[in-house]
Amino acid sequence: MFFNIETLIYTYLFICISLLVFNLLYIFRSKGRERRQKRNADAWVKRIEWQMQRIAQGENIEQEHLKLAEKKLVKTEALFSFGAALDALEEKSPGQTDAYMYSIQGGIQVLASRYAKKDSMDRAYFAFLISRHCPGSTEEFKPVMEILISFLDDSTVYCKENVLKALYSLGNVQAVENALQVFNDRGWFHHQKLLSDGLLTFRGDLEKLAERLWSHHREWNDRIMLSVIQFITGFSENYKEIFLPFLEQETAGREIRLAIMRYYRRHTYEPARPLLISLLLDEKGEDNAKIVAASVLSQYPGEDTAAALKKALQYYNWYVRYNAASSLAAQRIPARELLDVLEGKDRYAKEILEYMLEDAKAGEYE
Amino acid sequence: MINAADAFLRGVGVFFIVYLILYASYLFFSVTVGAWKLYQRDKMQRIRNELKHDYYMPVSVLVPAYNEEVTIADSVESLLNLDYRLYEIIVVDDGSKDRTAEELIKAYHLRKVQRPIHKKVACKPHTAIYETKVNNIRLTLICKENGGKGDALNMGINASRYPYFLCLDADSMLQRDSLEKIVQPVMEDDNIVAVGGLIRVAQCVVMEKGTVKEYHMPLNPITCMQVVEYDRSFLASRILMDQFNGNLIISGAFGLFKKDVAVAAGGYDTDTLGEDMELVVKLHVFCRNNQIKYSIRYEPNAVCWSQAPSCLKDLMKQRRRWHLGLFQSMTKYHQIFANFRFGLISFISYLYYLLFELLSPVIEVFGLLTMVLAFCLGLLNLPFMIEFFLIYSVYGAILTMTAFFQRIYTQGLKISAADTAKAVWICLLEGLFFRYILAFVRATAFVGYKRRKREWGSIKRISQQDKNWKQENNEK
Repeated sequence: MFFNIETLIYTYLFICISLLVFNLLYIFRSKGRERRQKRNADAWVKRIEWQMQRIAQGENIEQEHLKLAEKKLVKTEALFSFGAALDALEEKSPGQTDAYMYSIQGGIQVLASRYAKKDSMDRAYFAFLISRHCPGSTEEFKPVMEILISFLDDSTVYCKENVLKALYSLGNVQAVENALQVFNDRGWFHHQKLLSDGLLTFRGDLEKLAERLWSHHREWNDRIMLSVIQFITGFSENYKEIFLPFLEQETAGREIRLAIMRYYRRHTYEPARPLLISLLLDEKGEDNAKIVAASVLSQYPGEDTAAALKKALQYYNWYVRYNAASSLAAQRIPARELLDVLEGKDRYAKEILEYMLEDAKAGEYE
Repeated sequence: MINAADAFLRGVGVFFIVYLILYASYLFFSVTVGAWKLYQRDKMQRIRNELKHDYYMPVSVLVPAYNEEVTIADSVESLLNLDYRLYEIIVVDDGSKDRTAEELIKAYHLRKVQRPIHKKVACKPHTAIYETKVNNIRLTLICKENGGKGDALNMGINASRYPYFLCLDADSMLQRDSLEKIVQPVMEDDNIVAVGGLIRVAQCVVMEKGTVKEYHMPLNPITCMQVVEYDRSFLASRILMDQFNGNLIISGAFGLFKKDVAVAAGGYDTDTLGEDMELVVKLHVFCRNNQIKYSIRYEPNAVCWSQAPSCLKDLMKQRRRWHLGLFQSMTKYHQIFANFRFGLISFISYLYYLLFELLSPVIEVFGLLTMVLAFCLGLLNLPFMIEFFLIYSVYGAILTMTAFFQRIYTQGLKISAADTAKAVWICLLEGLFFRYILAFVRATAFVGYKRRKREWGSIKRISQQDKNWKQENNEK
């Protein structure tokens, strides 16, 4: 043989034993690390408490403390202990570290610039810490926000998410707008749900944020705008009139129109009713629009709605029938008014409606 | 004549050395990559590099059941305690001959409903449907005619309301965060069509409301060997293949799928024994053929505790099914073989399963026969053979130990010194004996192949309550 097979297997064996030893050492090191971190966190608690006392007495934070923080917290492990200390203090009394965080914002800015040069994993943790402990809606952290936005380049999805969380937490409209502009310009994917739910945690003026983000509806891609509409749906009544023309225009993107239809489920608006009914009954219309319209109409009780939903029960698409039946049941229409379906010849319409009525009735008892 | 035999045996020798080097190298790289990736994941989680969210997408949890009266109530109970906002549970009783349905109806006061089911994928008709809501989670029981596990899962897909479905064995238990963990990758990448979780042996743990209260090595050596075997295979192959989107298996015991893609691909095959592997291979083929951007992921932090067979007979039955399932999937999708369109899936994943899983029993039997021939001709180098066997076994055992201890620390489990010693001992035994028993089972898997084609693989179950009770008595 051109090489010795035993040597190869022995080499593998040696490397595997090294791997095993590494594993065992890692287990022991992890245990040691936990103890060390606990010790370090306790030390930080004492230091921070002392500085908080000074702040409470109207004094400035000690320069030595600031220097120590800037020096030590460059290491992610130390930052982790610092974070644990802040967590412990916040647990005792929520909001008590806000004044301290204001006082060290210069130091945070220095640290942010240093973390900007680190890898994505460390940047993500720095951003996480900001999201958790920096007080919101303040101008003092503006320079930090700019650095945080720079974290987004060459980063993982975790880093991007933590940066966005930090910006939501700092509550500055301009910073969030700039960050989403970067997402749009770079064409990055960030799950709609993460974006829309995240935006709802914004600690500043939600209406102002919605207004600024919606102003980009012609420039930003549909994916981001969908998140914006979902975000607006989560809290604002103010877009009933603004959204209606988009529902009428067929030029608006399909998903955008569906998202706007869902907006009218949560925020009912009478002028939307005829449009929703026509979308449900339009013979040339898309099935997806009919499916959503059938569901949204549950919030628009009335004779015209009931008639449209009954008609939709006979549509060939299963999901349209399903949602129409569900909406009819949700509107608690008396059974006698549904007799034409319940005693009709369309077995599919009858069965789904019977099930939905039964389910709604059972729901009342559960 | 002797010269010809000598030349033949030399050729066989070279073949086996190349074969074993390839296998050893594969194992080596997969365990190294697996260990490194898990180390990275551990660090990432510690410093909050994760997509922790309050609301994820809604999921339908499908539990196909056949003669599961012992475990079904426990399993559903564990599913009702998940840290997840919006999900439903659908139990599909595939014509059980025991009291599976009755146990569930009694435990949760299910009411019979006349619910129409939209048949998106083919399956046998249902005989009755029951529903209720427990803690705002909809629990549905569908009783249907017997059609096999794939058929039951298809019924579950048809009845599901949400865009993602999770298939779960009826004897499996999830940790509180398992559903959240298996869904998290979907938030990272919109092209993910399936995610597989980590399967571990349920006999090792005492669970209470979805939390692991105690971890120990089981007393039964057969179960014990499966513990280390599972750890090795889930650390090694799955993580390595995940690096190039090449996983061909997501265990039927715990896997998440995007419903519309699974339906478009035709759902589960009802005529195969390895419906879980078949679906995953089918998704690869379907997405590649239709030029759909897709990704199939493995999430090692999503843990499912599944009962392993505790007697040799059940184990042999299970492994036969697995091997036949592998054979069916590999032959059905033979187009992947040496096909550049499938990239690394063809040249690493498919080739691995072909050479080191499907054909390995044949190759091993061939090896044994040539050894007998060499012995008869006086050409067998016995000391070399024994030395090689021992080195190889120790090598395998050390890889298994690495995988085992890796799992212990990444999941923060505590293990006693006695269990540690036991694990080391079992890793050695597994490499020396257990592996060869399983090789024999696989080599004989095709005996009675047609007769077993649609059978459910049933093993003797033990309920979680019984397990806790036994544990307490052992402690006393």
